[in-house]
Amino acid sequence: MQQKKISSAWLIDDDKIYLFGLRKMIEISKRCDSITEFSNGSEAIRKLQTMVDSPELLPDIIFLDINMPVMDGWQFLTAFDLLKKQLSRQIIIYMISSSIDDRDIERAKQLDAVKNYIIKPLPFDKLQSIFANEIQ
Amino acid sequence: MEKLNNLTAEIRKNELVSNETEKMARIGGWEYDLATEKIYWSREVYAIYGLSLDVDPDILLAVDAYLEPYKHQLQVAIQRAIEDGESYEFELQLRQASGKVLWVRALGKPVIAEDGAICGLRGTLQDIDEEKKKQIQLQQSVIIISEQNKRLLNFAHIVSHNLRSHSGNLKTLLELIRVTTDQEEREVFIGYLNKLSDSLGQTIEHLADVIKIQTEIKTTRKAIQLEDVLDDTISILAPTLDETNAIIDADFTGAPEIEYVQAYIESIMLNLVSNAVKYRHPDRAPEILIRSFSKNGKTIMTVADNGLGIDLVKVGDHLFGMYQTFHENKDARGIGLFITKNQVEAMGGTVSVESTPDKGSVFIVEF
Repeated sequence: MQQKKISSAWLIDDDKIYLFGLRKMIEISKRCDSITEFSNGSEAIRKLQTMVDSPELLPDIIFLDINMPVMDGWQFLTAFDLLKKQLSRQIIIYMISSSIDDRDIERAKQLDAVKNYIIKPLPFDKLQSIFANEIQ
Repeated sequence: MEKLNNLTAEIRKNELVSNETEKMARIGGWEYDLATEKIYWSREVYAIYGLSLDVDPDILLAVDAYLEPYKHQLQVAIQRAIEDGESYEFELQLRQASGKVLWVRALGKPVIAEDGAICGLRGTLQDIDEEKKKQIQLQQSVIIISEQNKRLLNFAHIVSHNLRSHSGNLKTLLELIRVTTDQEEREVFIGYLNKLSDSLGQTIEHLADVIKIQTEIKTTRKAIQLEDVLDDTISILAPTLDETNAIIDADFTGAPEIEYVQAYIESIMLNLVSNAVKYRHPDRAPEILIRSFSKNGKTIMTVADNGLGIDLVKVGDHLFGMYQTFHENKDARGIGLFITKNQVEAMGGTVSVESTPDKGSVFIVEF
């Protein structure tokens, strides 16, 4: 039987090695058809803005870093919140950061848009269970 | 007759004891008679004022010795004591006849006559210079220590965050190497491990730079000409300055020289000037205006450019943070301003910025 898949995942992070690692892990999991990388929040927001009229292109899930140049994870979430009403599909956002600062963790928990906060590195089995959860 | 002699001896003894007590406690007594306007001082009050015992004190002389704003504070309190019968107790600064300034505790209260009217003032004056200076020193130490503590905590945070991201990547890459069966792919992962090792090395070097700031502070300051520092900076940046047709307009006549750690001022100048070029506006050649001047006894240097500018509302405090970059610029490492801020603050100064996006920025260093 063909395993169910997530069709599109976005990775927003300025750490190239991390992006490469996460992409590889997702590929190995074979749970996702398309992976798109962005090196900061602003690039991703600009892409989302072009997709307002084509919801089929929107990602199902976003893995979002906090510390990034130009537009960081928090600023992305603020911009995303404004854009959300125009998007006809719900997008699941996981925040993934090296920050173990309680203030960051608490802040992420307060935000409705954020499904969960995960401290880097994201282990393979955790990634598997995220996909398993979101596919259902 | 013998009785009187005994009494005189007794009084002398009392006076001696009281003078000695005053001297030891460095506290004297005084009295001011409203009707005669005469002031009586005990020996220790003379000593605190640094005046000889033959001086005949009056209220003007007594109050004039205090430094402002304490003098005014004392005048108001004396007025109140006379009019409303209010007592006072202050810690004030007094200038002795020799010019030496002392911290004293001044206490005064009204003297009430039999008819209930206020007929004078009485009080004590204590030399608390040593204690007060120690106290001030202690307060300053507390401020310095809490600032250092804040920096240390900040540093611990940076270390933890930056090292964690590398260790996370290391773990991920090793996991990938373990999982993959493809030999070619494994080679790619090992290539990434090499990159990781380089960037980890760089992070540790940056952290070492920050620690160096704290230790180098002990090296001596010396008189440095800002003009010379700029000349060095220009020769280091010459290729970039030529390539971008940058114009530098510097005028240090307002404050040509500073007492500073040579390595710091070189690094501060280099960082600010190279930033002005690095974040130039795509539509115009960089123009950099550098000025120095004195304000409230401090030397201030401003470096203004006509570059990209920064949206300070968005960026805020992060501008001077480690590994914080704000423009889509490949050369940006997010380390320069962090080091600059740390160097300036380690020397007891401040650095701030004013900026308009698309117009340019002004960095203001108060040394």
